[in-house]
Amino acid sequence: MSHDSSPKKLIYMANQIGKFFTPQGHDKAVAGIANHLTKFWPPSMRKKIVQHLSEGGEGLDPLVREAVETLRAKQSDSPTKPDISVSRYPRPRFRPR
Amino acid sequence: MSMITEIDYGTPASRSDKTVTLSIDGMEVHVPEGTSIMRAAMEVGTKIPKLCATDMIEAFGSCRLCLVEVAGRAGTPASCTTPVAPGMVVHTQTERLKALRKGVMELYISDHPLDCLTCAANGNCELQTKAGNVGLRDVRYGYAGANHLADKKDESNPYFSYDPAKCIVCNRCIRACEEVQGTFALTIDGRGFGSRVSAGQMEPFLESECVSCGACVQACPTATLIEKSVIDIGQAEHSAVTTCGYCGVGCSFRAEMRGEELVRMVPYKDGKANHGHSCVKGRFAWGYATHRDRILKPMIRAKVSNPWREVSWGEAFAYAATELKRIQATDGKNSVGAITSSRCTNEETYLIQKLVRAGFGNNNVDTCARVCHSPTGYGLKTAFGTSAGTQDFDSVDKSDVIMIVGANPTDGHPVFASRMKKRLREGAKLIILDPRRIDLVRMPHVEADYQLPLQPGTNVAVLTALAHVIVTEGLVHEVFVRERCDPAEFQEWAEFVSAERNSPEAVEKVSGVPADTIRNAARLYATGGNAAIYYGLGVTEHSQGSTTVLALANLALATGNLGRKGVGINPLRGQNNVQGACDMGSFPHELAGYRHISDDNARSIYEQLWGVTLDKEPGLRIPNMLDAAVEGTFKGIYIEGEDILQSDPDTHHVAAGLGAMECVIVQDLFLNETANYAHIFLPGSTFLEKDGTFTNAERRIGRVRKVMSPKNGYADWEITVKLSEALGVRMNYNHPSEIMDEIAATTPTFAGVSFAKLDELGSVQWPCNEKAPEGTPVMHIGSFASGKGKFVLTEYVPTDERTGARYPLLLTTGRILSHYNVGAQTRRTANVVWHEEDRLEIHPHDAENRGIRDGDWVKLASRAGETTLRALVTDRVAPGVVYTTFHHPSTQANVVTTEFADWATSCPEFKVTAVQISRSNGPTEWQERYREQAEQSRRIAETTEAAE
Repeated sequence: MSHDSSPKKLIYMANQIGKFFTPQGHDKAVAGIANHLTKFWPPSMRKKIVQHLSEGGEGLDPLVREAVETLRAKQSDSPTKPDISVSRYPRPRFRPR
Repeated sequence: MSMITEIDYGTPASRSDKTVTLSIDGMEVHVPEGTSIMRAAMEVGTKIPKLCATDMIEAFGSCRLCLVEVAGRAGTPASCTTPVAPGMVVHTQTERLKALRKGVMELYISDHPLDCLTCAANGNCELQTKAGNVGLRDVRYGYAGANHLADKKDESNPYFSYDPAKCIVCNRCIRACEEVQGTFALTIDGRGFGSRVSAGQMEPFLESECVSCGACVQACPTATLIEKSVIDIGQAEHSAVTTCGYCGVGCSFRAEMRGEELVRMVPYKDGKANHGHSCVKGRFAWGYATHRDRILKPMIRAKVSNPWREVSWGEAFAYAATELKRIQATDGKNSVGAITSSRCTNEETYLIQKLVRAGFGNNNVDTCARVCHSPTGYGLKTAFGTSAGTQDFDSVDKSDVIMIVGANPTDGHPVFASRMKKRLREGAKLIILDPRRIDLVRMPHVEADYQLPLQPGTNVAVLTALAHVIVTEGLVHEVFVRERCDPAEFQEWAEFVSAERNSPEAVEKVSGVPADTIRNAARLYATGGNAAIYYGLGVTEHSQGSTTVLALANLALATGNLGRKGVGINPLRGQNNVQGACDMGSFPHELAGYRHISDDNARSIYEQLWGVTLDKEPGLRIPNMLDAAVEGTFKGIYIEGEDILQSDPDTHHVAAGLGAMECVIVQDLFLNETANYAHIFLPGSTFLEKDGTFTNAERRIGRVRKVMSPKNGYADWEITVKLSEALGVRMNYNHPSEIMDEIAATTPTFAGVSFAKLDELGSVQWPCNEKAPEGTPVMHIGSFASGKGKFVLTEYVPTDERTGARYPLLLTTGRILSHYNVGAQTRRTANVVWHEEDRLEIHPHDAENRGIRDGDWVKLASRAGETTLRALVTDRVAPGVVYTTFHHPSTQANVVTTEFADWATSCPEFKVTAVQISRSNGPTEWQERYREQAEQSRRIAETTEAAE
């Protein structure tokens, strides 16, 4: 595995999840994998794995590929909002010297 | 604050439901059948003089001081060994008894030093008190006869001294060692007048089997066994009950004080987790609180290569806020995050996740449970609907079969291990699944019925094979399954486990555990009566950690071992507040009470309360943060109470991640290893210096009470509040009780919790709400939180960390009794006498093949890195397996562990690393470099010297 959230590492992690759900049969497994990725992976990682799928999805196990496909469908339904900088902080009470 | 004194009833309480009525000194007394006369008298406030009796241990009847007269009975029976009887008429004070007691006391005092004024126990000595009680005025025999007054003191133990000259041979210490601790390290050597307490075979305490739990010291009625701190300081003048800051047992202690100086920690008998017992860490290893290494002033620096510069709190907060805001302004709101620790109180943890969610505007908060028990949260929530163990510790008293999986309770959770050993001595059966021969496999009066020494990484295969036997041999508890589980899910699971590949015979080939042993263990678990599972990090820290937790849950569901005393699934949590840290919403995907961040209802509660909109997407986990840092998208972190550089896997990667960040804020007691990469250091406070709560492994919320002012100036919760305020996020709390009030108001499972309730009841176990106002000792009685118990298929998937020609051995890591986690606290106590360095355990066969002798320096190398340490040649590990601890930064055992992790939770696979061992001349180049870097990094500039 590589030391970053590169596709290689994400593929490995997604396939690992896939191996757990695979014995549950096709439909449950695809739903289970997709649900797990949605519940536990941050959007940045989901975005990358979807992007990888869009580029061919090499290395993704078949059920994982299908699960990521459902994520892609959801993403296209609700495009990710841009990561805007924080504006919620009021003026600080302390000022640096 | 006054001194808390606990009543000593002389003998343990009877558990009988039947009441007996008798008369003691003319008073009618009602007590449970089986109660001793001594205890019955104490119940109505009559203190019968005693020396060899104390209520932590069974009656012994040797001192002959507690004699009473019983109407209609001849003689003067010992009240400690005589049970009450209906209609009994007892007299505790008669002329005859007075004369007898005085005579007995004369004999004791004739062989006891008369140095009361200079004795460390002066004012707190039972012998002195009892001499006064019986009216002893002189000793007719004189003091010139044979005596033991010249016997030599044993000062070998760093924490207590043994002065045989003061010993009255009451046997309390020996019985405490046997009955309470279960170590059997003490005995009486010699006979008659020559009888002496002996550690081991008349060895110094330090060299004996003594584990320094302190039970003997606590039991001693004189100054024979006494804390050295009491000798140094004197008797305490006030005390407060608090919760230990070490492991997940969460023992209650009386912190006994003189002013703001801690004199000693005494285990609290009314503590529901420990019932008056302790271990060497909680009892004695608190000296770190005043260690010279403690950092007491905030410090900042622009670059980690600069020396630290001490600054005011205001400047530190302002600098931290400016940096975090700068990073977010440049790199987006998701570029910063925080890590909470299981060493933090619930209130502190809650505040940190609040700061992240409400202040940083993201969910990038994680906790050190990520690297220990995160699979427990996932697995138990999936199976039962609640991310927690099912039982209270007392439940073990009702267990007939105890199955320990991947845990080493005598080292990791010693006080609970003593309870467990007591039950095993009473006849409970024991099954142990562990690659290493832990002490419980065979020790005095305890022997495992079955040990399954499985190959590291094969937990799922073996547990599924146990299920195979249960299903295929018709041992399923059908009524339970029918009533409490989904029949279709059970059917699917039963078919899955019945497959040939899951049979013990097939699994023997991968696990190395003989099929017969698997079959016998499964039969015992399923048919031996109440069967309880206790597990530790040997379950969770695997690439299939969550699957393993599910496999354990499957076993309990299939055999109906849930929902009553004596059974259940019990994670033994490593640190004091692992459970609490998880409960408080410090995982990136969950709010307090395990409600998913995407839950609109849960989120709206906090949005309304905090006046912000919360992100509904999960944030980054610790490994995600480090990956993102290396990638350049995560640049600022606030870490409270956690040393990720030493405790997390693949040290090089952690260092790379931290090194890539622009603002690392560490809040801790000491300049830990992570602080080597920090830009801002906020000095933390110890558990003695703050108020709050910890939640132990049995979901028990206990109070942490401040007994001294924070030496750093602020309690940790105040530091987080002030940091938040510097960021412009208002946190309006005057006391941690108000934080708990907010937790209770927003978290259904904590709805009934308040400091007032904890003060009233001592502790409560969540869920604590309208349905269970005094808490919930045993979960899932009648139904599961999720409705039905869920069977889950647990296919065994071998880890990708494989042995081969280059790395032929498997390394597994763990802990030792005397040290805690990364050792930052215990290494700064006298506990180092038991473990001054990490050692590599290696089997004689593997050692022989490599020319390694006991004590040799060896190189431990894996695909991730290498380090050196000294070898301990032992057959405690199997051939092909090596073991070490991770308590010492000079070793940095995690430099060799890899990035492989649990599929569901990213919990690292600490327990399986393919390694090679070879002889070495000393530290590796990396170790030398690291040591130099750490020294450089810890420089603190003189106050006049410019740091930047």
